[in-house]
Formats: sequence, C-alpha cells, structure tokens
Amino acid sequence: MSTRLVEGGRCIDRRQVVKFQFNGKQMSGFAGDSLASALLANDQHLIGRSFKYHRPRGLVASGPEEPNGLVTVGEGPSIEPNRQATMIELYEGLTASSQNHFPSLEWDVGAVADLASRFLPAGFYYKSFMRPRRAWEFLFEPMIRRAAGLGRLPRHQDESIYEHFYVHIDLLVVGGGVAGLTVAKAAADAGARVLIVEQMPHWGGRTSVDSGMIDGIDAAEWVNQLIDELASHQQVSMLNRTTAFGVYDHSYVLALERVEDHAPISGALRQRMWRMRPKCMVIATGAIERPLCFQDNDRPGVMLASGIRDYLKNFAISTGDRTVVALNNDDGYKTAMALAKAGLEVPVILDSRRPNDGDLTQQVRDLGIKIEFGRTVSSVNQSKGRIRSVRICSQVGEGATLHEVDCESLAVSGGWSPSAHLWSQGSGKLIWDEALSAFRPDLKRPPLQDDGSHNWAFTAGAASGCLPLDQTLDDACDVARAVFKRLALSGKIVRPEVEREKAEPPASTCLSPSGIKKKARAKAWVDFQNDVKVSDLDLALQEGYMSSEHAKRYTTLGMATDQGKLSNVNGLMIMAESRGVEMSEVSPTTFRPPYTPVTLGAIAGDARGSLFKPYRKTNIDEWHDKNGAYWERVGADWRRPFCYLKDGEKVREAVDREALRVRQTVGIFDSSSLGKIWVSGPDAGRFLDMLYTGVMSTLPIGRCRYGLMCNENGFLIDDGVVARIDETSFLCHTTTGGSDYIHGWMEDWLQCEWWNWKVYTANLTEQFAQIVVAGPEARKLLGKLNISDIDAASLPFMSWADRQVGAFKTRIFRVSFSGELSFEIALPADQGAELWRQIYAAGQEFDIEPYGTEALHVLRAEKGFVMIGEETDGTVTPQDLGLDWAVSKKKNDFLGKRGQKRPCLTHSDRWKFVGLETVEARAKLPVGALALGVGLDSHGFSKSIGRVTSSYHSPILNRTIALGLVENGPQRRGDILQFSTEAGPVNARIVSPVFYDPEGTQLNA
Amino acid sequence: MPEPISDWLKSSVQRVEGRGMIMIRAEISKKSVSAAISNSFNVGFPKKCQIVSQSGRELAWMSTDECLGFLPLESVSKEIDNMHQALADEHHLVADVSALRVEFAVVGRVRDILAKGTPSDVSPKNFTLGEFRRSRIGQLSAAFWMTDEVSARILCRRSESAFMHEWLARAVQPDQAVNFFPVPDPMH
Repeated sequence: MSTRLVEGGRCIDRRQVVKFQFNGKQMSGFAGDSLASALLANDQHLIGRSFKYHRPRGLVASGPEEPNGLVTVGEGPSIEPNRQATMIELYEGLTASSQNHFPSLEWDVGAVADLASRFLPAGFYYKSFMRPRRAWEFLFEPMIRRAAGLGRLPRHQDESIYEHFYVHIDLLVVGGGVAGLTVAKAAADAGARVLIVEQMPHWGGRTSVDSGMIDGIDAAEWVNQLIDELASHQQVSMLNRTTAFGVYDHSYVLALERVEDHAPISGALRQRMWRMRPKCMVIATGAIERPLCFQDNDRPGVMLASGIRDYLKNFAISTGDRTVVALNNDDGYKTAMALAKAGLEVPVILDSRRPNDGDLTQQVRDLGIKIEFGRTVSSVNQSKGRIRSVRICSQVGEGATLHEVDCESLAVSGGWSPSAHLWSQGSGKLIWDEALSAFRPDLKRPPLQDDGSHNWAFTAGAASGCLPLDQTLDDACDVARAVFKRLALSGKIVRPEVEREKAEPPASTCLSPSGIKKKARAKAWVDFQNDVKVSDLDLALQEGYMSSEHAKRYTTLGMATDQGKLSNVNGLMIMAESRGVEMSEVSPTTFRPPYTPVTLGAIAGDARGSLFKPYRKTNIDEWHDKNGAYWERVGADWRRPFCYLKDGEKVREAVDREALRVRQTVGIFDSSSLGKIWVSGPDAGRFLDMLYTGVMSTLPIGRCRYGLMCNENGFLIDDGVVARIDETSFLCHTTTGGSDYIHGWMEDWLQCEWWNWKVYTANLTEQFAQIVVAGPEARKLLGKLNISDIDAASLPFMSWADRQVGAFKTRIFRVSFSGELSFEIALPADQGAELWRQIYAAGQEFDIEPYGTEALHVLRAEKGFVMIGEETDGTVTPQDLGLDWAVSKKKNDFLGKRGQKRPCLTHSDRWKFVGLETVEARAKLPVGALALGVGLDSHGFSKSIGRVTSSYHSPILNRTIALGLVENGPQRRGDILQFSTEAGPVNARIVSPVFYDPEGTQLNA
Repeated sequence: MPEPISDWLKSSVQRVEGRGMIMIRAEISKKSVSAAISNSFNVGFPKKCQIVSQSGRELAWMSTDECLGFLPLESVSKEIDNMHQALADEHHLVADVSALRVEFAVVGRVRDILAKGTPSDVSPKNFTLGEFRRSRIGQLSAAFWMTDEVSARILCRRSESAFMHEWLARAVQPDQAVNFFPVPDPMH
C-alpha cells in the first residue's frame, strides 16, 4: 500500500488540493506533486502493461529515467501518448490514462502472452513468421502491431503553439545540481555569459533531496541561496523544466523548454526549442541508478532506492509500511535512513558486498537497522499485484531461499551510471571504471569541436563519475578551471566546504544472486520497457550476437522511449559475464539524440498552419484571390492562378473560357513571377553568347530575342526572351521556376570560370510586376489608356519601349507566348495591382477576362511553343525540339556546344518534337503515355518509340491536341501511333506541332 | 534572469512604406570605388557586415562587391544618374530596387524577437548598432539591423512579405516573450 504521510514533502503545498483523473477515476493530490507521486498517494501503483508480455507494471523511478510509468494525457481526439508520469507536474483537471491493455488495466487479455512467454523469445518474429511469405504483410505484422506497442496516436491536430529560440553563449551548463551551479557561478562571476538548463522543476538535483552540509549550512538551503544569487546575476539565464536533449556537430546543442506543460492554457505557447551554440558546455547531468536482476524484479512495488527516497522526501509518499532495501553500493543506505527517520520500517538491508564499515553503514547501524551482508533478493512473493514478501538468498549462491521477509515495498540499488548521454552524443567516448563499477566519460577522448579542438565539452560532478558530494565539488572546481582556460577567464574559484566521506566501493554485478538459474533468468527483467529478460541476452549470445550493437538490435535491449537508461549497463554486464570477458573489453552502444522524447510540434516550431511553408505572392495576388483564383503552386515556390472559377464552373470549363477569350477578344495575365535578370558590363554580350545557344551580342538596342540555355551536357535547362537595354546591358527573362537557379548559374560561371570578365548581374525578378495583355483587341484596349506609339511600326513584334501608361512609367515588350497580338507591361512591383485594375476596367467593353496558367499552356500548345519542364526533362536538347534555328552554328563556343556533338545526342534515332492529333477528336491522351513500336526490345519488353509531353483540350479547335517526342517523328508525319494509356490504347496521328494559325496572322492582327 | 518586459516597451511590428533603395555592384574593395560611392551617396562607406546611417540615408554592405543604398523614393532616379557618373570610370551596375524588397520596423525587445527566427548571433556583444546581417528569419532569407537598442529593421523579398509580416506579428506577442537578452535602457 502506498500512501501520503501526514508530514514532510519539500516539493508539495498541502494547502492547495489539485483534482485530476486517472483511467476515469477522480483523484486528488497537492500542488507540486508529479502525476507519479499523486498516483502513489492514491495507492495507484499499477500504471500500465508491458510492451510484449502485458505484465503489470508500476513506477520504478522518479525522474526521466522511468521506463514503466507511461501514460496518455488528455482525452478524446487531442491526446498525447507515452508521457512519463514522473515528468508530468500535476495540474487541476489533468486527465491521464494507462496504455497497452485491453479491456482494462487490471484485467488484460493480452497477459496470456506472459504465460506463452517461452514461445516468444528474443527475435521470435524473425523465425516464426517465415511461411507463407505474403502472410507477413497481411496477417503477422498487423497482428503483432496490434498486440505490441505503446500508446495510441492522437486523431486531431495539436492546437498548441511552439517556437524556436537561438542563442549564442559562452557557457551552457546542463543540469542545475550543485556541480553545475558551482561551475556556472564561477564562470558568471568571471564575466562569462551563462545559460543553465535543468530538466526538473526544482533546482539542486540529488543534493537537495539528500541531506548534507555545505559551507556549514544545510545543503538544500545552500542551493537555494546560490539559486537566488544566480537568478539576479546579469550574466546568467536559468531555465528549469528544460531538457538539453541533443548534441550535434559544430557544438550545436538543442534543448526543449516545457513552458506550459505544468499548467496548460489552451492556445498558449506550450514548448520552446532552444537552439544553442555555446562556446563551452558543462554536462552536469548527474547519474542514474541501476536496478538488480532477480526473478520477478518487474513486479509493481520493486523500485529504485533513489526513487523511493525521492517520493518520500519530495512528496511525503510512503511506498509501503515495510521496505526491504537490497543494494550493492553505499547509496541505498540513504534510502533506508530516510525511511527510518520518517518512522517507516526497514526490516532489513541486504548488502550483497562483504561486511564493511563505511560512514553510511555506521550511521544505519546507529539507527538500529539490521544489515545482512553477502545477501540479496532471489525473488519476490506477490499476490493480487502486491508484494507480500521477499525471499532472501546468498549473493554468491544459486538462489536457495535462506529466509523470507514480509514487506510491501522493495528498494533496489544496483549501482550508479554517470548520465553521460550528451558527452557520447557529441562523440565523446566512455570508459569502464572498475572502482566505480560504471562507464564514465573518458577524459582522453572528449567530444571534438569542428576545428578539431577538444576542450569545449566537459562533464562535472556525478556525470563524471564523482558520486559523493565532496568528490562532486572537487570535480566541479576542476571543470571550472578548464572552462576558465577555454573561455580565457580569470577569477577566483571557491570550493564550497563539505565533510569528507568515507565511501565503500560498489560491487560490479547486477545479477542477484550471481549464480541465478535458468528458470529465474527467464523471469528476471533487464529492460522493463521493452520486455527484455536475462534469458533473451543468453539466447542472443548463444546465436552468436557477440557485439553489444548486434545484441541490442536482436533483443531490442535499450530501445523505445527510455533508450535503455536503466537497462543498458546491466545488459552489457550480463553479456560480459556470460562471455567471460572483462567489462573493459565491452564497448557500450552509442547514445543518440534525443535524450528524452521530443514532441514533433517542438521540432516544427512555428512552421505550421499558415506559416507551414512560405509561398511567394505577386503584387496582384490579392486581386486574383478575390476573383476566384484556383491556385497552383509553381516552380520557385510561387502561387499562381491556374484559372479563375466563376459560379458553379468546373476547372476545365474555366480554362476553355479563358483560352477562347484570348483568341476572340482580349485576356489579361499576371506574369510577374517570370525571372528577370539584369546583365550589365562591357563583357555582357560575350557572356550571354556563352550562356545562350543563340547569338545575343548582335541584338540591337530596343529589340528582343528568344534564347535557349543548356547545361554543359547540351541539355536544355531554361528559355526566355532577352531584351537589349543599352550598349552594355541586357534584361534576361527566365522561366518562373528558373529565376533563382539561372541567376545562381550565371554567378557560378562569372565567379568561378570567367572571373576576369567585366559583367555584373542583378536578379530583378521581384522589382517588377509584369502584366500581359493578349488578344486581337489588345492594342485597342491599351489605346483606351492613352498609351502612345504602340502601333506595329513604332513597336514591332520582338521589340520593347519605355512608355507612360497614365501615371505609370512602364516598359512594354511586344512578345507573345499565345500567338496573339500581345503586350507585356513591366512596372515597379508595388504598382502592379493598380495598373492591373485600370486595364481590367478599361477592358470591360472588350469582354476582357483574366486567364490563368492552364489557359496560357493551352494557347502555347496550340501554337506548338515548348515549355521547359513539360517538353524537357533534363534529357532533351534544343535539336530534339526542332529548335535548331535557335542554336548558333557560327559561334566558337557556348555552354552545351560540345555536349551536343556527342554521338548519342546526334543519333538519328533521337525522339523528336511532333504534334499529336488523336484519331478520335475528343479522346484523352494523357501526358506520359508511351507510343508502342513494333516487336520487343533487347530486354524482351514491348518497344516504345515516343511519349506524350503535353496534352490539352483545345477549345478553339474543339479537339484534343498533344505534343510529344517520337523516334524520327518529323519524318513520320501522317503516321498513326498507338499509345498505351490506363483507359486502353489510344490512336493518334503525327502532325505539325503548330495546330493553330501556322501563318502567324493573329500575331500581327 | 532579467526582469519581465516593462509596460513602456510593448513590442510591435510595422511595414515601412515609401523608402527608395538602389543596388550598387562594383569592386568596393578598391578605395577609389568605395570613396566614389560614398561621395555620391553622401554617406560614409560601411565596413564588412555593417550599415552606415546619415541624414536620412543609409548604405549597407551586402557582399564583397555589392552594397545597398536607402534613400527617399523621390531621390532614386537622380541618385542613379549621379552614381553612374561617379563610377563612370569603373565597371559597375546600379539598379533601382525600391520595389524588390519590403522593409519592416520592429520595436520592443528586438533581440529576443530576432532570436526566435535567426541562427545568427544577435547578442549585444556581437550585434551592435551599425551591424547589418544577411541571414534567415524563420524560413525566409532576410537582412536586418538595429536602429537603436529597441528598434530593428528587417528586409525581405516582396513576394514573401505577407508571410514575414505574419511571422513577426506572432513573434512580438507579449505572452510569448522570452526575456533572454537584458532589458534595453529606456533612457538610451
């Protein structure tokens, strides 16, 4: 029976009762409780069922190392699974429920797995579900996934807010215990900018729990004074409830601050991820206690000695009237003493070591507690999920029961492991310390900085393996000196005064007893969370998994949410013992981030909802949105109207309407996203001659020329119209998707290859809004706006001129991508929307319609104009597209010239550009459909001789039109090809790619 | 830990309208070139990663061969002509980029606000008045600098300005204040 004592509890406020719910049951605790302590206060020691065998599980520990106490917080669709009850601070209205059981926590049908456990050894699914093969996917895997696993996923979006925060500081101290605080104080006093993070709500770590004297006052009081000093220190920032969970390259450290988790407010900031680049880091993360491995050591009521002590001193929780303490090191004595001082019974302390007389042993004796040396627990006797007694045996024997002691609670301590996770994540190595009986940071192999220096990360205190308080403080002062050196600080480092302790060395086995027999090994747990037993490790070894990394993967030891905080070292010790090797020969598995689980919300930060991903918007975007824009996301992250939907209209109908309107009267199009790169300098012409396949240097001022760009391999990468502005300046238009890439491409060549050419480029894409007015009535419409000199003589096709349009200074390009009379009007981007509105208003009498990207595509396809990304896919040359006329034969060189001469690109069998007309006018011919050839290819597959690259319904021709690439296509005009489509074969005739107005009369209408 | 934000300092964000900007690319490492730009623009030439502000104009260092001038919108075309003349003997590029980017003014605990989005160091030690950074804010590329201890300017692409505005509006929320950097001195 666990209960709340009437006195004590340094963390709770008894005046504030807090109500909460567990598995639908109303319970209450006090402000300052953790969910774990509040559950114990309500005698709820059964918290969940284990992963594989569905064994009943209770709390083992009191902090982030807890493997069993996983609960789901919240109810309904907005739940969060797998949260540790030990890390949840109690708040009014908290709702939590247990996991991994059916139908109820107390009565779980899955528990039959425990009875069948001998058929479910490590790696059983590698062996059991081999035949039939397909059954794995449809039967076995779904079945196993249903039976195993932790928690359930939430079904609703998380409504909480998250954010990131970047800091650059001199010193990051991880862990607010006495070691970390001592280093922080020294460094801050010497002038360093210090950030201290502490994962728990309270400062002081173990020292504040365990009594002791520092500088002549109570240790907890000493910590409080230091905290007050640091809190008012200008150079210091302190974050509690903040876990540094990952160390990455270039001394990049991540921490999760739980801003509101202890008092959630709907819609408020919940968690903040700190992204830190400290010059120096002190890992003062303490140590983690290890359990002992004996039969039925996973029964609720068996807890770590430190856990029982924490619950007692922090929350005034008694885990039972009678607690037996089984230990192999000094620390567990403190639990016995704390229990005795609280008036609880400690029937016996089982110290598996030989008789000793350390300071603590003596203090325990003085309290009248019985100690049995050389003894340990062989098993617990339980009924109805409660411990009734423990069976006691000799440590060195095989487990014969010497006698049995009645108790309700069992405290175990199998030694302490320095919490060196961050050290290891940062590539620091660990070494086995025989005297400590633990892996500790190897100071000779510390984490490296990106510059190869190795003095940026240090461990201090228990994290270094210095467990007793006097050693912790010695180590902290040593580390402070190292930090001073690294940060070039000078100042005094004062070592706080503490009494020297006489400590006895721990024993280095976790098996209890040492000769534990086969049957007991199959019920002795190593990893509580993943249900790995001693016998599983035996099996792994038997099957040849000698390396710890292999055995980990085979048995799942140390996996899941706790990442083996309690189990890793015990597992390694057991394997070393079985193999008959020394621990110094065993290498621990590498720790990887995160130290404790991190929410996906915190990783995403503010990148969610409307801030999930930036989409670039033109100045006219708002008008589009108000006028029915059906959006499309286009290259370089722009959003553009695909078409404008009118009431009840389907997309296809809108596209037809828009395309027809351009052919019949006039349309208006926002082409602002088109890339516009200014290229200027004495060598600009020469430079563009190298970049484009055609000749640009000869372009007269005031004229425009269509150009193609290829990469060195000769494949098309971009196209667009180049305008000559003056003697030394050109404006190069690129595709929407190509604006940034082509600008980078230009700079690459200018900076790396032709660095001495006098050319500067400027990406002016966003400086200008660009409005296309296209259609037979385009000139008439612009005339309404009093624009002078835009007649065919003053502004012929493929020329540009600066023109005043009302109040706007514009530059008008007479180019056309629709085949219609067309003007592209460029003006400063911030004025774009206003001019658009004026043109649209003036265009009403011509039934002007805005048109989107899809109508633009239909119009260009009707004219047989190619589109980068449709007709090209990175393997297509200008010659493939019949654009030989745009490739200069006279120029000595240009990018792609040599590539295009390679035999594979000049081969007569290249697939070439053609128009495709379906035999049945309205048949659908999807993009990507392959044309079937005769016979089989060398692999025995049907031969394909071409593919569809673009396909549209042409409203003006009222039929399907398509463009494609076909082997020897231009020579086979008139042939009918069969295309394979999902809907069956479709026949299409090879025709000219120019479907509409081949004479170009519309262009000069 | 610094004191929480005082009432006199409410963080806010505003779009800055009507400023002209010109881009100048030239070999600015040459003394004669930087001096010519400086003389024409009437502002001292900025050092690497810095911005100089003088009588309503600002000149910012953008890269080893580029700087950006801020000036009243109505002076832009005249300044471009002047700049061409000043650099007549040098290979150069001058362009009106007044509409290319959008500027925001943030007032309040600006270091705290910037640090929510930029990986660059904005501590008082490293990011002093006159420093100019081209980095990132949230998911957007951005440039920023401080005009006094409680005011910063942020520059981003025009097409991304609505996104930036929303990001900044959230970052200045008082209930999300981090209070990491020291409280600026109100008398400063």
